[in-house]
Amino acid sequence: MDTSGKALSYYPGCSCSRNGIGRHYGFSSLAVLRALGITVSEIEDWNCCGSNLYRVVDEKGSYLLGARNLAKALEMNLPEILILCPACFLSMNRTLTEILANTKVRNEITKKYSILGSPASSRLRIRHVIDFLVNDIGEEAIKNRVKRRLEGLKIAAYYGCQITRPYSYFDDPEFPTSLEKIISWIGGQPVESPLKTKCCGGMLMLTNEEEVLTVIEKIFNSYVREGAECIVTACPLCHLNLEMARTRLGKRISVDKRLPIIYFTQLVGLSFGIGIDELGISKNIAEHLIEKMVLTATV
Amino acid sequence: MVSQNNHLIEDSYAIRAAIEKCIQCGTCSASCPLNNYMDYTPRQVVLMVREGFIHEALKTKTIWLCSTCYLCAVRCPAKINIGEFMTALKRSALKNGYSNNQLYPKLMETYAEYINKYGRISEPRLMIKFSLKTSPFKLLKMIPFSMKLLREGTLSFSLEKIQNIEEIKI
Repeated sequence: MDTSGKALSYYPGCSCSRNGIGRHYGFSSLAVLRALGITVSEIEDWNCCGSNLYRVVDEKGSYLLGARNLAKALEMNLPEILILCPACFLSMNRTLTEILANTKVRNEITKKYSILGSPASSRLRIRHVIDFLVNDIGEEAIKNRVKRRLEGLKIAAYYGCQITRPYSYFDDPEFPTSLEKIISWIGGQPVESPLKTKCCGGMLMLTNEEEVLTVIEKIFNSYVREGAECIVTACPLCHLNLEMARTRLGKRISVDKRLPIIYFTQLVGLSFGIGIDELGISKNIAEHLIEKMVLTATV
Repeated sequence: MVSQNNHLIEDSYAIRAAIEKCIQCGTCSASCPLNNYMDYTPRQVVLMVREGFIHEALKTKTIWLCSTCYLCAVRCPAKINIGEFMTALKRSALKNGYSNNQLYPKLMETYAEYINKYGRISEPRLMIKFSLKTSPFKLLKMIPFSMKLLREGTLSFSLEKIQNIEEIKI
């Protein structure tokens, strides 16, 4: 499929926006897409998706949060919306499902945003960046763009929960393989863990820290057992939780202090030869990765 | 349901589906990553609601430990979305004042305050405000990790407000 020049609207969400905690996920994703000739236009004046929290306080209001963003994408005439954050992906999909299924919620939404009640709304599609890279860009285009193959590097993909659940239209809900495909296309060696879609605890890290730490401990141990030399994530909250847990767990886990935990788009960018500043990768991590690659490549 | 406490629980698809379709197999309980910290398993909570023990169900710690990872939902042989069931229970609990000294309701309220005011959130601000409301000394514990984020350039407190906040209000 020739996708170069394809245009999508882009919903960064709070975490992946320039002020967010996952801004490097945002920056690196945009850099990778740019390198592949894809234009994305940020939805202007977007608002928070509400994730799974706002709907506990105000259910009706939570649908309006998603609807406002969807309406803006339609107004831009870019109904295919690229999303990075799994929580945004989930809640925007939920709103879209309600609109397309013509439920009572749809009536509430279209009262406020009439464009969503028009036939044009059937063109709306929520695309996760993994889905887009694997199923639209594809193997050939990604392989062709690789400048530095990550030869021999053992890479573990940590998906977290909400990328494939409950909306699992682009991969298996419990044992997805999309990220492993991308890893192998850029020359890395994917390592499997049965816990790759186990929940990191999400926001519970703030409220039930000890409980969440024991779950992440299991996740880390499983990756260490498989010999992972790098963990890639695809969620700003997973990323934050893994990093925070690594500090908090300390000696409870036998994870190499230098084990890089980075966003998968940062790794793809590295293999494309994009500069580390643009990708938001620290010099230490980049050096560590490159060192590993050279070592294994010369064996 | 034959309980005098029915008014405490919302009448929604998520609740009805669980009551009417659950086969009490326990797949949800076995799948839950936080099951061993719950006072009742998810299967038991469904049973409690089905048999009319609404007050008891809303009082469980279980509902506040659900992080909505939906592993139960995708594995359920009766295709019940337990994650949505738990969300509906959280909503009912919050509405009727069953926060049971759990921290999670406070977190949600703080989150919603930001959205209602700015239309967006800032995670660092959310963490700080939430900690001030619950256990301020926890902020001290966060300093080393915050320094790490600062060094990596991912920590900032700026929060842009959307142009017209009325657009997200009903």
